[in-house]
Amino acid sequence: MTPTANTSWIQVESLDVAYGNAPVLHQVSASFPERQVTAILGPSGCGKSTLLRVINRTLELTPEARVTGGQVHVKGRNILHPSEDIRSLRKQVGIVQQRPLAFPMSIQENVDFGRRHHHGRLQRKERDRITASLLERVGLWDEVKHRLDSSATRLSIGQLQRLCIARTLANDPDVILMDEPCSALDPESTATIETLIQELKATVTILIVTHNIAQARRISDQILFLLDGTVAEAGTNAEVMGAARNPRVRRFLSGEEG
Amino acid sequence: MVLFLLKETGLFQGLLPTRDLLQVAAPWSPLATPPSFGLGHAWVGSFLVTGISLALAVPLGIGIGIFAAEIAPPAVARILQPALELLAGIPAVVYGFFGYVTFVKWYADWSGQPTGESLLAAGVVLAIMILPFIASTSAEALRTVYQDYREAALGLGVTEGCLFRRIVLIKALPGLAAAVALGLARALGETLAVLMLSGNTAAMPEGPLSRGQPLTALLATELGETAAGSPKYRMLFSAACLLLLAVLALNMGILALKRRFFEHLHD
Repeated sequence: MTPTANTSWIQVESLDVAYGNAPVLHQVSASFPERQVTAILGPSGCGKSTLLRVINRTLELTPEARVTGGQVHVKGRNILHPSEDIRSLRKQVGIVQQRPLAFPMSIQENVDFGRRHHHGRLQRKERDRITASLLERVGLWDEVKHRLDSSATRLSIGQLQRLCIARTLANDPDVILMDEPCSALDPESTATIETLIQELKATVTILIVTHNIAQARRISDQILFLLDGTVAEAGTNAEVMGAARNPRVRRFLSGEEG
Repeated sequence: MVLFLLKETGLFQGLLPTRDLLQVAAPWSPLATPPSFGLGHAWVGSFLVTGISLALAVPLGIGIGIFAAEIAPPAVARILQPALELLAGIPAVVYGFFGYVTFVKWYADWSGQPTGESLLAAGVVLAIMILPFIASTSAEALRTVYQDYREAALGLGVTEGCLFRRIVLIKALPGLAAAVALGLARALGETLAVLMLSGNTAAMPEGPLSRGQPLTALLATELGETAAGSPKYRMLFSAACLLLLAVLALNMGILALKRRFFEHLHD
């Protein structure tokens, strides 16, 4: 079962993942279309974040986690192949974590952190231009333009999450994976992030893990619903939200189960 | 404890031996007429031994900390932590004996002297003694930062080296400073092993290979044969107070340095 796709940038085929001996994902197959927002839904522990972390191979930073079967293709390339350049993959497929973290450096250095590592130092003027453009893109420029050299740790959590998105965008990724990016935010900051996601999908493919059904309804084009580590439902927003076939999914979407 | 120490110095009776405390260049001759209570040799001995131990233990301890926190395979890391705790629990006298049959003996054989005690031997053994404290505190500080920042930084495609240099090291700085402060306090206050290995000679040391008498060794040697309330007794307690003050001052210095660095580095 796969979401309806136009051009699928990411193809997951029969993916199995386990933590130690405990299976977390079982025979998961899905495809994620280019420049669309796909919401990954499901109850806690169903493997949503695990699936996300397989796609840019940050899962392997957890010692006991391992992919036990299947393939994941990004733009036709099997990213689970041992010869895959992981750093290049993570540049191309960025991830925004649930808990936004400021690195111990200035706002500008935070934005420039990954880009500088991949492309080297730039002239001050060029760096300033790129920083301004990225911060404008995430709607943070007006709030921080006079304090770019001050510590990023002094930002509010909503501002910090947007800074983290700017930091990911600085790598010029094709795909952004978002792991519950609004779970710690107030409604106003959540609305800002949701607007930003809608703007970003013009250039970037977005996969977002969320517990918030209303949010998935508002922002997603496609929905993948996981239950107990398997795909229970997949399709367009209207298909899944309006006519889910799986009774547990229907109960979950209606709020009877959560 | 501080009040008790201060009381014994004669401070409250106006009998604090200020003049003697300031005469650091004078020899330590409490039985001479008139007696002389110069503590310069003891301070030099203490700082030399502490300096040697920190110079060896800090880079090695932080290195072990990095290895334990990040490089070691899980099975090795699991063994390393209890091993460090075990080392930290060994009594000082055992370290003293170990130093005596190794470094002291080797130096005696090498130099042709009848005995091989030296400030260097005391410093090296002291380094081994404080190593577990520095290593385990560093490992803990680094491990916490790694857990928090690893996925956020590596998720951007940067290398482990970049993560370590630009984030982990900076964020772990307070923890590493605490590790050094802990080692420093332990080294400056250690008595028994230092007494056994330094030679316990009340003369100004000429260098690390000289015999010497660090302050703690002097205090431990002299206090038992000193009449309570005598000028020598007050002098020894004054020296103990100064040692306590020195440890506090050095720790506060490290704390201030840490705060200054940390603010600068955008905490």
